[in-house]
Amino acid sequence: MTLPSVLADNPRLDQWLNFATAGKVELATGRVELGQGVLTAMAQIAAEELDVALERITVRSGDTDRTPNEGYTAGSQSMQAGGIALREACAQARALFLDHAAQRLGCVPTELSVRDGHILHNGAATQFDYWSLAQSLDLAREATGNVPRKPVADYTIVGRNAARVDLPAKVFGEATFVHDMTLDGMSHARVVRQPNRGAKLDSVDEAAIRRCAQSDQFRPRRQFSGDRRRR
Amino acid sequence: MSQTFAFTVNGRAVNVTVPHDDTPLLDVLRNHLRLTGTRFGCGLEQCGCGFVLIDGRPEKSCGCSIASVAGRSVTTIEGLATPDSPHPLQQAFLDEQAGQCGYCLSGILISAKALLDRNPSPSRAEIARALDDNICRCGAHNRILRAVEKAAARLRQGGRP
Repeated sequence: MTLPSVLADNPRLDQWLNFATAGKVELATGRVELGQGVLTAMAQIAAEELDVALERITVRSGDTDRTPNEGYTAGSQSMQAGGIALREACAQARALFLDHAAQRLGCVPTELSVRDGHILHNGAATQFDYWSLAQSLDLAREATGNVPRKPVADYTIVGRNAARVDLPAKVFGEATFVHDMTLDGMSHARVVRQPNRGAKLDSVDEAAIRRCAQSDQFRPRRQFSGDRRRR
Repeated sequence: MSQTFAFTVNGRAVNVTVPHDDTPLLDVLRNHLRLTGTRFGCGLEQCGCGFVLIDGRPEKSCGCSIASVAGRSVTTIEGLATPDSPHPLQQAFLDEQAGQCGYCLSGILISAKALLDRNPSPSRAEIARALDDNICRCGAHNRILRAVEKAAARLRQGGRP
């Protein structure tokens, strides 16, 4: 089976999800929340495919060092491309956990199922869950695309309303928008353009700007305009 | 020349030194006090996402100079309540899932609080009028109106203001 293209680009499963915190599943997505509800939808997809409660899911987003590279969040592609990749990654992880549990229990994976992260054997509880198994299961491996996905008819989370995960921070004024971010060593810059097309910079009172901006980073560029390209 | 202004923000006395006395309150809140819940939208008093309460009245913080708030009391979204003990408006906005990108919400919650403080039983039309200066580009308006109605009802039943 061909992997979804975004998963093929970012095939290592541990780029997409981990079980490092007991009782929690941390997802990573290259998509960012712009109000479209994408983080909530990603959580729903993962909860559904992994058979865990939605409340167990946390979603990391907007950190390019620690999320799959999915390019832009644009073009209504987050679900179509990113959601499908995440779903496949979760299906693969679930299958690996069931294989691992079957070895430990001396049974076949088809006798196993998952209820809220706990492994059941022929419907009965076992001592295993994702988090205990994760101690000895390395997700730093590539997706293969050879596992069955949950049948849509069995869905109980996807397709139903879920509370937006991004909304609490927004009603308490805590949400961080791009221009609220403060990073180490960050500077602010402003390009001052000519007031009309074709205008040339005549002179600049650099000392006045430095006083006003309290900055020593002023960079006068005489021909910072389309004129340079035209020559 | 730098000047220092004293005022109260969310119950806390602050002194802020700014280069100009016409520095907008919005800049002081966001840049000096790092209270970034109040948003910069247009900066021209057209969008409503920079609303704060000044002595209990809703004002657009981008249009208020720091000099004009000296000695006065400012309440921002951060001063409305906390996640541990949300204001009935905040709880109602969560219950009704009233918001998408959320950029307008701080201003809308402040405008709605000002409304409910002066009119505990607003009609839907009165709520819409009170929020007429608050633009929501995502289109969450109907949910927002329902949320304000729900909060008003809870406050009338004795919810904490």
